[in-house]
Amino acid sequence: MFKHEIKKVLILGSGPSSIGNETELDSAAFQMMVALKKNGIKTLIIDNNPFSLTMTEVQAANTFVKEINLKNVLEVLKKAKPDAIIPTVGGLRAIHITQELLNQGILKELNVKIIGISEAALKTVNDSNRMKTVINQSNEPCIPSKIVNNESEAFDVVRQIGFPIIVKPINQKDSAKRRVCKNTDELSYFLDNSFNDQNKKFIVEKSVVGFKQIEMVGIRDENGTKILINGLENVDAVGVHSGDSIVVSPIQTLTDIEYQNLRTATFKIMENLEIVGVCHLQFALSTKDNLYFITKINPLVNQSTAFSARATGYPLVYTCTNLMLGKQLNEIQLPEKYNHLTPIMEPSLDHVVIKIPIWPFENIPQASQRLNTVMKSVGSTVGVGRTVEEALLKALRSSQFSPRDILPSMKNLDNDELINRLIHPQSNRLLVLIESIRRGYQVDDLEELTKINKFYFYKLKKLLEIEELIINHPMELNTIEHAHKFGFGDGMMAETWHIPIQKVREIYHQYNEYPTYKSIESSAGELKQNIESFYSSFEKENESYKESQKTALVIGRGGNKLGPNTAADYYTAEVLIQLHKLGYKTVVMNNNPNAVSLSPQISDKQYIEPIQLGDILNIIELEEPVRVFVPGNRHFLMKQLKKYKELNVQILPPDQDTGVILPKNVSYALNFFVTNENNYFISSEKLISNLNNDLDHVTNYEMPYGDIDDNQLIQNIKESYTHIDKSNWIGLVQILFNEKNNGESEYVGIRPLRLTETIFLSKATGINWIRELVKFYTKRFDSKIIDELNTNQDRIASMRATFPFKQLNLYIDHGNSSQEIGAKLKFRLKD
Amino acid sequence: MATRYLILEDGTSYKGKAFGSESTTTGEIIVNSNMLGYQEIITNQIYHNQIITFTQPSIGNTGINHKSFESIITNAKGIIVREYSNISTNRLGNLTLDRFLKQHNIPGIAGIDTRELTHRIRRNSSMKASIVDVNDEHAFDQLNASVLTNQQVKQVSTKAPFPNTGDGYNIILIDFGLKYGILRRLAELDCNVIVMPWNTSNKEIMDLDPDGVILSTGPGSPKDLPESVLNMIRETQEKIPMFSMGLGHELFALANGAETYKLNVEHHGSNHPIRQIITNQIIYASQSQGYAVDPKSIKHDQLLITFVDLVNGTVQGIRHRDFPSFSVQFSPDGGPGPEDTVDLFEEFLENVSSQRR
Repeated sequence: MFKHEIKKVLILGSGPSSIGNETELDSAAFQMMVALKKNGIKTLIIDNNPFSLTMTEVQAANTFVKEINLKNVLEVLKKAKPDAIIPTVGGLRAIHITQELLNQGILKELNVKIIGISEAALKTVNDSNRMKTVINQSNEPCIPSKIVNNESEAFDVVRQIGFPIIVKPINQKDSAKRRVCKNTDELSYFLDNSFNDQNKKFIVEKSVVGFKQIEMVGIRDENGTKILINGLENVDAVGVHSGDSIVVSPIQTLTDIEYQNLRTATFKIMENLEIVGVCHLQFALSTKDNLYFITKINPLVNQSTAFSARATGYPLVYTCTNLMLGKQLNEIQLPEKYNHLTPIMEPSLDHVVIKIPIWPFENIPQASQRLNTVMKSVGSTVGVGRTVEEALLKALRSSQFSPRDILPSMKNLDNDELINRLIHPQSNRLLVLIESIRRGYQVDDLEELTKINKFYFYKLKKLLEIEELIINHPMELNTIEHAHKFGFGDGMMAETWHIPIQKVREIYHQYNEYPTYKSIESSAGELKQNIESFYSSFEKENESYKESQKTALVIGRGGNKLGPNTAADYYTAEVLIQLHKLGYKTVVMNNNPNAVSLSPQISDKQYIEPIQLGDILNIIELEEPVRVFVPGNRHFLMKQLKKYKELNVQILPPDQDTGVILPKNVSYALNFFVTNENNYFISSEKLISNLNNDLDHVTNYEMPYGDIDDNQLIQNIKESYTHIDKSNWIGLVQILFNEKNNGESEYVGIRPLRLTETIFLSKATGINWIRELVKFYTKRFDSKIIDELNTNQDRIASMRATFPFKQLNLYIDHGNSSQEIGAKLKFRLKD
Repeated sequence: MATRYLILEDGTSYKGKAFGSESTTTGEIIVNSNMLGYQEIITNQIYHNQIITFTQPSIGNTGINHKSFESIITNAKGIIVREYSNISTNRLGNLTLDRFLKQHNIPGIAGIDTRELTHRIRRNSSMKASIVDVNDEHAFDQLNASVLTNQQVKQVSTKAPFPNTGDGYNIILIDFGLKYGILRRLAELDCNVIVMPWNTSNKEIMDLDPDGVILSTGPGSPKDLPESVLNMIRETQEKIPMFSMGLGHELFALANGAETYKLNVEHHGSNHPIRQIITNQIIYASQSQGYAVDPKSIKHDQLLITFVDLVNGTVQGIRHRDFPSFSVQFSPDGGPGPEDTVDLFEEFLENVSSQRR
């Protein structure tokens, strides 16, 4: 039932990264584009995120670098005349624009279809009344609530739904006045102080704070076949945003009866909304009273659906793209490596995947670290293992607490503060939980204080027992075996025993003990398929073998955090794509569930592992790569890796620490491509600082720098050459200048071109400089590319960093470059 | 935790950690790929004679609760897991999986690479296995020499009738290895249920003035049961609406001239797509089967295929052309597994209501 009339579609991009929108939408858009291409459909995209891989991979003629808003989308629709638009990989912004286009009748007028989301589902997004109607129509429970005009009405409602309740003013902006009331006194007190204004209305709602938080991800085809892709268990209870909670998949602490109730509820909602594609639901569940409520319906791609695809190995985006084109689940032709039955088998896992959030408070200390219903984390890492302990510890080792691969301690926290943090969750939640067990708190008490299922405390306890074993029985094979099974790394043992990591490895290697790698696939070992996504375990059977004689290993950046953030992941993905084009078999190591670099189409093999030395060496020993690339700054790791002389390691860009920056202000820069033989000038760049021309506060960029006159430029280039020659650097190099008040310019520094600016340079010049770097380091660089540089450009590119201040409820005008979360790209004609 | 061994008929030996009962056991080894519902699985009578390998690596996380029993007397021969948890959720706070297994004399073994074991079981056809203290030659000899009983239904079926009272239709439930999920679903529909032993005759059924008859799931091969059971089915289906499941479904097929065969690899899980022929809908159900009805043997003038498993092509449901009787291979009550198929009980009651004079 392929819809032949659709030949050209417009994807609404996701825009600059922000809290809750990392690279998962870009990754989905990219995979969608690949699937569309297979179906002979042309993809157009509108986006202004310079770090979008999809934008790079869609032909330049089909990309529209514009801010994603109603006006611009409309313009593109009129100009490019697509047959359909896809709003499901662009986040809420794309949904709102599509809602607007639909409401204004524009789509009908232009004869453009919406695909990927049904009209009913589209209208439900962010409309709580409509969501309630849908839930009621489906005979499923939503959180009971009622509008009240006075105190006696409020008490009437309470008699029906019982305490605790949340009372909130009807005016959403008045959010400060939201209050949880646990009993009559609290409610009376609150209302006495609030109903002084006669016209005021309140919503009284049953409070589900402390309930278990469960998420379900399902898909449905046009024929009504429904599959539950994944269930996600939030370790933190309702009250903490699921993006800020530790998340476990598959669900561990529900009975089958509870689980099936939620599965059935998910399907009823999907049926009601006539979903064709993916739908994500959230539930609040009280195990005690066997009670649950549907709290959110998201008929679109988001971090939970991305996590589900990563956790199950189910080709979610590929399948959903085919579904939205009208195919049925049993008709979908997957790429060859998959078993043909995979799309229609309901995933069953024989591994555990755990996600840990990463918060930005190190870079933005002003923000409140209290976790609540508004998301604050900017990234996450996952651990995959055969047990909950193994997955949990690997996730923790992947998160960026510990470059040295040790378990960080919170022993400085005093007891009152510890209890306070147990009750009122803050960032680094897992470390606080571990500390409380170290101090001997009882599991039942901890469950009561934290509302976290005791199952998880038993697991943490087990991990601490193994830690004890490591401390008390050093350098024994038995210790190492136990430690490995529970996810501990060689680096941690080396640190504890004060010996080099290589010594630890020798102890178990002499007994011929090596990790086994297991496939992340969705049939629990039932189907034969060649899925190239693996995690390590120390077990009997290994499923991953050396990929080829010419393998390149790319070590990903791990979870996103502020600073280079999503640019680093884009960069990693580009390096992989380019290495593949140069004939390498590519292997990537990463642990960010949202990473575009982990999309299955981008590399030949993926390892979801902690980025720690021991784990890297394990993969190097198995794959024997001829080259290792490390995009992004990992100083500690690089120093360690460099010790292994036989490895052909290349860090990209070279270590920023080695840059020479004079303590002066900066206003523009010249960028060069430096080879052993030659220095090639590429572009001038205006560096715009929001604070005193201070380099750290440069967060806006323009290329080329329009105000520089030719003579000065020539002189600056000449000067740059001497600095470059002195530095012995190769690759992309940036020379920094400052324009003094008298109009003269002075040299202020030299540094390797940063990740973000390398990407910007590519966008501005139309030449993929990551490709050229990869070629250069693999000795394939051809200087002819320099001839393609258009020196007479009539347009100026600008890149402006974006910050998460507003989302963190802060009123800060300007940030520094370590606080960047994303960026906006724009082109304008030279004046 | 003591070290124990899992040994297989093909000569493989696994070292693991003991939990549950310390007894030595021998049974047929099978894989169950349900992600939740270990209690329902372990207590299902269908696993009489069998050692269950769980693909879901962490078992025991929700303790043992009174709602999840599929029978009180539990007959599984052993369980194999990657890892188990000692969690109790009952009100006394004392019933963990480990303790439950000890109470029911079921040995468990943990720390096994169950993914590798799953691959091995799927490569070989049916295998015997033992959980033992010592993995020496003697243990393998004993394993190879052991003969598993084929009298399972006689052993698990109730000896005497018992009721599960309700205000609605009078349903006779023939117990071949009763799964309580069937009782739960019938209770939800207010049925008055009388559970009868496996060898009940048509006359005994008719004497109870039934509105409908259900043949339950159960362990083992349908061909191990005597012809008298098939006669009971033939005589009953002519008079009373009948709904059969699992072993009951296989017997219903045999009674109507079809053949059954043993599957190379038993299937226990709820991940297979099952097509309902008439609607073209694909559904998922709780499946646990070692045998299947041979589609080539079906006499199309008598029987109609209603459901087919899209993974292994097995017949998952049939309907009689002349009588208001139908059957399904899967467990329509779920437990564990999807609720996609529970409305089959309502369909059965519709048959009952239209037949009722």
